[in-house]
Amino acid sequence: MKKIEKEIESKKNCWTSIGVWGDSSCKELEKFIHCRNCPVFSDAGLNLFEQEHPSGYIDEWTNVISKEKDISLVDEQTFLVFRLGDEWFGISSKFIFEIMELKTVHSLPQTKDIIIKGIVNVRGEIKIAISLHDLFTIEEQKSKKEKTKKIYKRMIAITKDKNIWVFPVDEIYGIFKLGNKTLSDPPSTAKNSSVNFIKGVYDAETFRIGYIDEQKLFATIIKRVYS
Amino acid sequence: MQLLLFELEKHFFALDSKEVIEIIPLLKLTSIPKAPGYVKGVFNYRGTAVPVIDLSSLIENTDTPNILSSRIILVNYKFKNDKKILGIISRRVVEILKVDDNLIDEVQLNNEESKFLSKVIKFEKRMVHIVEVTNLLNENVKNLLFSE
Repeated sequence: MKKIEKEIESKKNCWTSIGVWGDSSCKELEKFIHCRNCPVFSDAGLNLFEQEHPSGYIDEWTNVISKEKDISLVDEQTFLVFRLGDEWFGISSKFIFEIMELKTVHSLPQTKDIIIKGIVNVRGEIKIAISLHDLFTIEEQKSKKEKTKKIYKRMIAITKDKNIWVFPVDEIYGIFKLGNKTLSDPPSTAKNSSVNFIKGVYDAETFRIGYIDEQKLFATIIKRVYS
Repeated sequence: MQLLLFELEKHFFALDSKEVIEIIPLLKLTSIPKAPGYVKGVFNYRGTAVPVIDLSSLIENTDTPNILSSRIILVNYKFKNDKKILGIISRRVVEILKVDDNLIDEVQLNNEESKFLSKVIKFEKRMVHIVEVTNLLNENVKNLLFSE
């Protein structure tokens, strides 16, 4: 234990100086590839817990553990939030297969429907790439936030009945819990056709998220891709 | 076999993960009169009184320090024909090991009080004692903690 502490002390924050968050000159990187695989880094993390409890911590937990477990939280629905153009959308997490980096879409000849963009390689399997931008008639455009922080475009693979489709998005925000919040009605007037695929609007305080009606979305994709 | 690995002052120990119900932080405990020193008290676990023992105190005669890495592992405990819950205070509960049952060695321990440590496994240069929950408490302590 003391040996590890000494080692950590001598290599204090080495991951920011010679590690992957520094100049990557550490010789151990050849063996561990990334600092997170190195015992010095993981032991430093563990040592964060080698300190006394913050005030009120034990009382708070004693109170929490004495109460019945709120099982409603276990069933809580979650949804993935992503951006198309300037608009935020959410889709139930149970339909998410994978979130990937942008991949090359190989176009297919003689596809008449604009939402079919081609085929893409998902873990060695060929899947159809579609465009929610075109389905929702939203232009791919940069939002104002991109000036202040780096935003990465991603691809989302969604799945239903063992079928997988992939579509690019302008940004992934993260996972939200639906909790006790109820969705408000979608606006009756909208500039684009996304409103047809939204079953409600989730108010995330600083922005609003269109919650996608999965039944309508999948029915439309199946109809337009396979007919 | 899947084992929940943890550390005490000097050695590695493990519990069969099938026995584990939940891992929770240290809590405020109400002491039990006439109980041995390693029985640290009892607390209200979702409406049920659960006794807690300090494994470090039982095995190494030193109390587990009152810090964030110290946790209470709640395990199933069979008392007569009833299912009870026992809390075990331990440190650095951070790893799950998957081990082959054939790698577990039996150690002959003459001491009745240490019978719960009769299984040992060598894992990546570490000698890990497997704590057998059923043999953890002697009859007197069992009756003191679980008799109604």
